[in-house]
Amino acid sequence: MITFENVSKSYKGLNVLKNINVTIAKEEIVAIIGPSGCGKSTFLKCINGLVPVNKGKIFVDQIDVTAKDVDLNKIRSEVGIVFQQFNLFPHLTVMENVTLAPIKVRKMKENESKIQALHLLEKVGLLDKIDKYPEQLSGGQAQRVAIARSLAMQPKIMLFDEPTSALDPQMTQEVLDTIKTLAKEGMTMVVVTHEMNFARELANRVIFLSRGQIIEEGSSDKIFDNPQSNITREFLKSAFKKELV
Amino acid sequence: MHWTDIAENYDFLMKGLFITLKLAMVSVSGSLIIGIILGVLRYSKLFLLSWFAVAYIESVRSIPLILFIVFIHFGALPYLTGEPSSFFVSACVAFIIFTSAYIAEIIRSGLNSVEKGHIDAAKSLGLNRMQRLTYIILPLAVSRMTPALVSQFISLIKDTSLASTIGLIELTRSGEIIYERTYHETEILIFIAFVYFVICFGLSKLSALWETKPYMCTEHREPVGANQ
Amino acid sequence: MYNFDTSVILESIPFLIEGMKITLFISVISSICAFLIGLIIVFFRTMGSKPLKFIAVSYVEIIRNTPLLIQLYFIYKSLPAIGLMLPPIGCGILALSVYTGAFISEVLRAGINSVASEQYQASISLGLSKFQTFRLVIFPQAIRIIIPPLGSQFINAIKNSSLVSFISVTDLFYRVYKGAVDDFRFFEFFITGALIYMVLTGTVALLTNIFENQFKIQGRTAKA
Ligand SMILES: Nc1ncnc2c1ncn2[C@@H]1O[C@H](COP(=O)(O)OP(=O)(O)O)[C@@H](O)[C@H]1O
Ligand SMILES: [Mg+2]
Repeated sequence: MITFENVSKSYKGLNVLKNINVTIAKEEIVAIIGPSGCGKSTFLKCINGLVPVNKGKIFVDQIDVTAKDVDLNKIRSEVGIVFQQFNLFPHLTVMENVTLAPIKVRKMKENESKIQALHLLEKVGLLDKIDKYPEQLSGGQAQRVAIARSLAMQPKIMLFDEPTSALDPQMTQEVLDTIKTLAKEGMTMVVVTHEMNFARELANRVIFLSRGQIIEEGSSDKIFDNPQSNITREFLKSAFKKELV
Repeated sequence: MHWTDIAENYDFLMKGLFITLKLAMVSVSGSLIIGIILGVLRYSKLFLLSWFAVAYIESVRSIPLILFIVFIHFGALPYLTGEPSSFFVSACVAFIIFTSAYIAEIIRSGLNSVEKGHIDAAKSLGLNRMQRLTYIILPLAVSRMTPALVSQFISLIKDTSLASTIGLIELTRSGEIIYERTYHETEILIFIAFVYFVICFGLSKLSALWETKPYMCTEHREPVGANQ
Repeated sequence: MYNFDTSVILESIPFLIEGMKITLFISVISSICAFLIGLIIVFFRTMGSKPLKFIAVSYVEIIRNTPLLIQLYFIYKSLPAIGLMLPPIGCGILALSVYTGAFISEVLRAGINSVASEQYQASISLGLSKFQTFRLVIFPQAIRIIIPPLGSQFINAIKNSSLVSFISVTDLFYRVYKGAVDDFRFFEFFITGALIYMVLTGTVALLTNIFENQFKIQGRTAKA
């Protein structure tokens, strides 16, 4: 479903991704972990072409998103992404946030898209908020609307970039539960997260990224119980310590 | 005190006010069009065009308005057309050149105020460039620019008083004509100031209402007093 | 093609420089006075009693919402009627100070408001007086936000000072206009005049930048 072939990315001489090779299969759930600044967000944003790469190729559903003539808008409409800062459109109501792209990009009928939005908002538990503006929502509610907004495009892949790190523990749980529901439905997902227990419980596979390189990858049991690299061990030790306090 | 001067010359003063308002309306329309073009050019970062916009905006903003008015009326327009220019046209051209530079800056900072995260989100949903501009960037930018645009319009209304100096009989000049005859300057000046005040203060209160919309993002407001 | 005659300008340079000095003199004095007026007004508005607040707000609104030219004429024509005789240049400085002061008070107020009210509460809770809070806590934080718009107010003062030529002060604009009419050389004089104004305002813009950086270095690092 997603393939990275020798992908490198740098910002003005700063190498953020170094020769990444990875394949993510359909219906797989992959967690990306690693210290902050190691390139996790960049990795995700390369997948839907928000960040152009310097070298290598990325295939999404057999289409090369790094090709010059690729229709990025088409790829993007099939790949949902949820950001750390929600990024809901502040001038649109919850309903309008969720229906905008289906109407304008998918050319869905307004009624149809509203019905779909109602289903999705029910799924994330926010039916009572349809006429509210983003600023009137709590962080957890805003993030769930953002998830509904992405799902409204009926994506084949969902990307999550630290979806809970701007939230307090209770809201974090609401959002994690929503993501778990999706996982059960067989969505292909790539999740960048600091929630180690969540990663462990949810992911089929865990990728540990450090300084732009994949240090280690494997099943969650393997990475968490039996990490091979010292860097991974150090990282996990401090990450779990943080989660305990 | 000689307040009867005002009653006696009321029609004359109102005629002046009408010219003031007409001048302000024509000038603001013109400067909006040119200002939007320049602002978008500067925002666009298309090398040559953006460079031109920067040069225009920065030089116009560092020169007094009165210099434009007088130069255009006595120098540029007569030279270009070969005949004396009408007061009204000269004033309009000067105000449009001057105000469009300020409007361009307002437009640019409004466009820049749209957070990268919102643009990324719009891209990620598959909205194309035009759709992003139409449904996300412009609505956000416009609602944030409105207060600054209104205060620019208020500045323009006050600035139209400068057209009196080349002889256009707008509100200020009508007053002058009256007190040059009667020598009762104080009353006339207070009355004229009052008329300007009602219009400008009213507009600023109207725009304050706009700022209370729920989704307005207050952080990106134009700094106070970009222009007067 | 217009036949641009540089010799006219070269001959008039001393004449224009004299005007530039007057323009500078008026702008500098007015800017200083305007800053003091702004401080007083903002002090009235934030700490003053109800009547003082009302006076301050009325002052700011009346001045900001009427043209400078009218204010200038008013001071020039109406003050003598109540026995206050000022030379034209004095009228110019007074009008420009009063006008710019109202705008500067708004700049200062916006800067102060930008400092979170928790800072104010924390400082009061530590037992600092209102005035100490203002001087020691609010002002040092607000200054960085204030400097750029303050700079543009000083630039405006330079540009606005050109209006004093309508009350017979022979400033830079007056001389540019006079030179242009006398020699019938509009392009030459106006381009030169524009350039001189650009140098003056550009200098202030440069100084503003330097000051802004100064406060950045001394203060905390800029926001992450
Ligand atoms: N637009 C950008 N311009 C320059 N540097 C950037 C940009 N975006 C990210 N970086 C840098 O790239 C590195 C990786 O960033 P990121 O992918 O956001 O890391 P992570 O999500 O793992 O915290 C960081 O050092 C960051 O400072
Ligand atoms: Mg990140």
